[in-house]
Amino acid sequence: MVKLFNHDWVSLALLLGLAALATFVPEFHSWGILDRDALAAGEVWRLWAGHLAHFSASHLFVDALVFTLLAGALHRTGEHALGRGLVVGGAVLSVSLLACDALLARYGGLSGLNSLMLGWLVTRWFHAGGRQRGLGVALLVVAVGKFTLDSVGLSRPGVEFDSVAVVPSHLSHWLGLFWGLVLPASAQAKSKR
Amino acid sequence: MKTTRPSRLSSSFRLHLPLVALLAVVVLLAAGCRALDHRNTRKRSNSSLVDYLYPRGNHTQPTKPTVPTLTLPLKVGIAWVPESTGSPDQHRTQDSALTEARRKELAEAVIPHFQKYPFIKSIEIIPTAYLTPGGGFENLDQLKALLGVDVIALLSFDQLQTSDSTEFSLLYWTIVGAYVIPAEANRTHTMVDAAVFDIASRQLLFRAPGTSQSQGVATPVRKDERLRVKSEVGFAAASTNMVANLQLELAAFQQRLKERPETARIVRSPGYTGGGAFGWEHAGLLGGVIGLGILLQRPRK
Repeated sequence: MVKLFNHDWVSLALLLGLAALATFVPEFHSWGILDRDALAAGEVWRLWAGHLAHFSASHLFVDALVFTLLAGALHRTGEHALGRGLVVGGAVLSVSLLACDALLARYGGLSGLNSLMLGWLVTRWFHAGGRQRGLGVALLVVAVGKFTLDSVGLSRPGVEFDSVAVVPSHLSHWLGLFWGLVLPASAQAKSKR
Repeated sequence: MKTTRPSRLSSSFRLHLPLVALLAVVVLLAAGCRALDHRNTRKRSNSSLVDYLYPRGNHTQPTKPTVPTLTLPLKVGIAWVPESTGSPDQHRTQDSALTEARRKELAEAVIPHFQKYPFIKSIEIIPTAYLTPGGGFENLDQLKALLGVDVIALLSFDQLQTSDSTEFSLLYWTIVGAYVIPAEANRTHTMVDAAVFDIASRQLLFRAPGTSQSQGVATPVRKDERLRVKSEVGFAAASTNMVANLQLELAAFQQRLKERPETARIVRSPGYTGGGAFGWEHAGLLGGVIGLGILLQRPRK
C-alpha cells in the first residue's frame, strides 16, 4: 500500500477505477460508503473506502480530476510518502469527521482527501521557498476563501448529487486542509528528532 | 277411507288452483315491476382537499408564501382526506365509497415505491379518524405534533358511477329478461389525487393525479353488485396510475431543487448523508495555481 502511490500512474488509475466501482455499482457503493453505524459494527475498511464512493458521475469526475492534479503536483515535489500519507490521512480524516459532526451518518467523496493533499502541497511549496512559497500561500488563500464561501452559503453547489438527500459536507474540506498542514509538519518534526 | 281422501284433496286443489295461479302472477308481476324499476342512476362519492384545507371560506386568509424547509431525512405521513357531502357544514360519516381497511390497503401500496429513497426516513399511514373534517392546516399541525411527520401526502378521490338502460331493456317486460338480459350500461370514472404538503410552511411541494375509466353491462338484478365491483377496481386502477405519476412528480421535484435551490431549503438532521465535493470553478482555480506552481518548480535535488 505504501508503494501504491509511489508515483505510479497505474496505481492511480487502479484507485480511480475502484472509485468508479464504488460510485456506479450500488453494491460496492453501499459496501464502501463511510457509515457511522457500520463502522461501529467493525467494518473498518469504510475509513478509507468512504473516500472513493461518490454520489454522482460529475461528483466523481471533478474529485478525480483534482486528485490527479494534486497527486501529480506532489509527485513533482519529490514526495515519496504519498501512499503512506493517504493511508494515515484517510483514516484520521474519517475519524475526525465523524467525531466533529455528530449529525453525520454517512459520508462519501474524495474532496476531503483532496483538501488534505492540498494542505500537504502548500506545506511542501512553502518549505521549497522562493516563488513557490508565494504560490503556496496563494493556494492556501484560494482554498480558505472558497471553503469560507461554501461554509457561509455564498457559493452555489459545485456539483450535483444524484439525490437531494446528500448535503455538501464543508467540514470535510476544513478537516482535510487542517490534517494536510499538520500531518507533514509533525512527520517532519519527528524525523528531525 | 283410501278412496275418499284423494278425491277430497283433488277437489280442494281444484278449488284453490285459480287462487294460486293469481297469486303467482301477482308475485311475478311485482318482481318484474321491481326489476323494471331501473331508472338511470348516478352515484357520486368524493373527498375534497380544498374543503378539508379551507373549510367554510377560510381561503380569505391565504397562507403566506414561505420557502419550505425540508429537514432530511423526512418523516412522511399518508392520509385520506375525509369525505364531504357537498353541504358546507356536513360531512359524510357513513356509506363511504372506501372503507378504512381499503384506504389502508391502497395507501400501503404507495409505501414500497418511496421507502427506497434515502431522503425518506419513514412513511406512516395516518387513519382517517385522525383527520377532522374541515380541519385545515391546524389539523395538520396537530398531526405533526402528535406523530412527528414533516411532510404529508393527502389523498383525495372523486368517483362517478352512472348506469343507463339500453334499447334491450325492453326485454325486461318478459320478466325473465330482467334476470338474463344485460341491458344496463355502467360507467365508472375514478380520480385519486395525491398532494404532498410541507406542514410547517404549509406549502404544496408537488401533486400527482391518477385516473381510471371503465364501462360494462349488467342485468338489472346484478347492477348494484357490478357497480360495487367496478368501484373497487376503479380505485385500484386510479391508485396505481397515481403512484406512477407521483414517482414522476417526485423526480421532477428533485430536479427543481437542483436547478432552483431557492425552491426549498434543505436542512441537515441527525442521520444525514454528507458528500465531499469540489466544484468545477474551484477545480479550475486550483488547477491554475497548481499548474503555475509546477511550471515554477525548482528542479528536484
